[in-house]
Amino acid sequence: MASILLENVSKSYDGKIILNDINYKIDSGFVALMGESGTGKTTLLRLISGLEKADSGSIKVEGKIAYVFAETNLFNSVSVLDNVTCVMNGDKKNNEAVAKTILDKLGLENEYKTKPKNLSTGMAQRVSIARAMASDREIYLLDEPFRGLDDKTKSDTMEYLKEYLSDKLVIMVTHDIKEAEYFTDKILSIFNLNLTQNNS
Amino acid sequence: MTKKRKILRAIIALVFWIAIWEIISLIVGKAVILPSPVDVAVRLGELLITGDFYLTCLNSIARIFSGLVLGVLLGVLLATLSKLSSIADAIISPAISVIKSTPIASIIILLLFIFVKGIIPILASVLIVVPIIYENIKNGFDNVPQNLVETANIYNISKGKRIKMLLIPSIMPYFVAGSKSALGIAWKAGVAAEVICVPAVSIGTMLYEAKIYLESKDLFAWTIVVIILSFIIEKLLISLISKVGGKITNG
Repeated sequence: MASILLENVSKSYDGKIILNDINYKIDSGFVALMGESGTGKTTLLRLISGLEKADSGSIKVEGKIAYVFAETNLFNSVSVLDNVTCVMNGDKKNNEAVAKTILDKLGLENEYKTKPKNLSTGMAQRVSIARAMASDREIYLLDEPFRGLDDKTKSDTMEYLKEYLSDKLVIMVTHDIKEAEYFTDKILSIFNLNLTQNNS
Repeated sequence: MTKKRKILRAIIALVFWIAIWEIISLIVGKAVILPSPVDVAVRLGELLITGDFYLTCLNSIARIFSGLVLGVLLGVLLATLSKLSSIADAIISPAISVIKSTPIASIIILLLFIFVKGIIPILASVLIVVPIIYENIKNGFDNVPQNLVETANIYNISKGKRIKMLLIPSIMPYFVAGSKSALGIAWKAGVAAEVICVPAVSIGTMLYEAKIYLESKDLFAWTIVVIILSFIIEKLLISLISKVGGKITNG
């Protein structure tokens, strides 16, 4: 079973403390992470994913991670379909079929061959979500995944994502309380350099 | 500016400079020092109708182009080795710096002691091209977008896919820029090497002989040939490199 255990985790940049002595355990389910800009939400995701090391403390992660980056991080030299299948293992034809199903559900059925640089921000964001879903991991780190999506697309994407991620461990960074509440009642905030739980 | 106007401007500039050349040659009054543009054009016409002219040009192009290709391959290989191993980098980087700092004339003369003169223009082109390609490719490696490297790490993307989707598209603009610079320099260095070591059937040898026998019309005619060939080859290859590079970078 997937789990994340943070023990006395601290992180600073250029002498400025961002996160201080964080202790938290997530066993399963959906966690929304909120807080003002610059409070360390993305930093926390990067620490959990192993992209950055904590200055002190330990982070134990059980399960493989998929990450929807705020900046999408798509490979511009290859097609949308290749961006999604590149994270999959096994038979190419089967992978493409699975990837196309996910892309269809996200409203990208006409964009298989499009290069990411030719997509709108919202479309690129959905490709990034599709890639994470296709990777079929146990843990999902979503950094403002609905940025740039119009209301209708956002609502459809949220619905599909909620269904798809129902048995996964998910941490989603968001600034929108409605988004957070749609997915979970477990909402964390980073306040005074530490995690606080706001049960609604 | 329309294409027609551009062509017109180029023609006006050309006519202007030819007129200046004609006036100076009339003032000098000695064809052996400065032949008139008409005399040079006539000599160029005479050259153009001989089979030897084309053989000479092809020989030089083949030599210098081989040097360019070998230099590009070697530059890419050495930059890759430098990237993969810090020991290799410690060995290769100083050697590249030495080659880069050595005047091309010294390189050519040093090569003359060791190699037969026929291959020296090739080696000179290689030695000129390698540092340019090496440094550009190394810059390309250093500028692979870190956010995409992080993505590849998160999703455990295979090495083959990383090379295809991340490394080659990131490095290609640097490769294209390096190849464009290398092309013009390789051509000039190759011809200079031919002038110094006078290999059989080459443009450089024709330039050398023209100078020795005070055949100023030949000297000017062959110099014009070098300029025109350089222009055509650069245009053709740069357009080819840009096209292929753009396709790889942007898919």
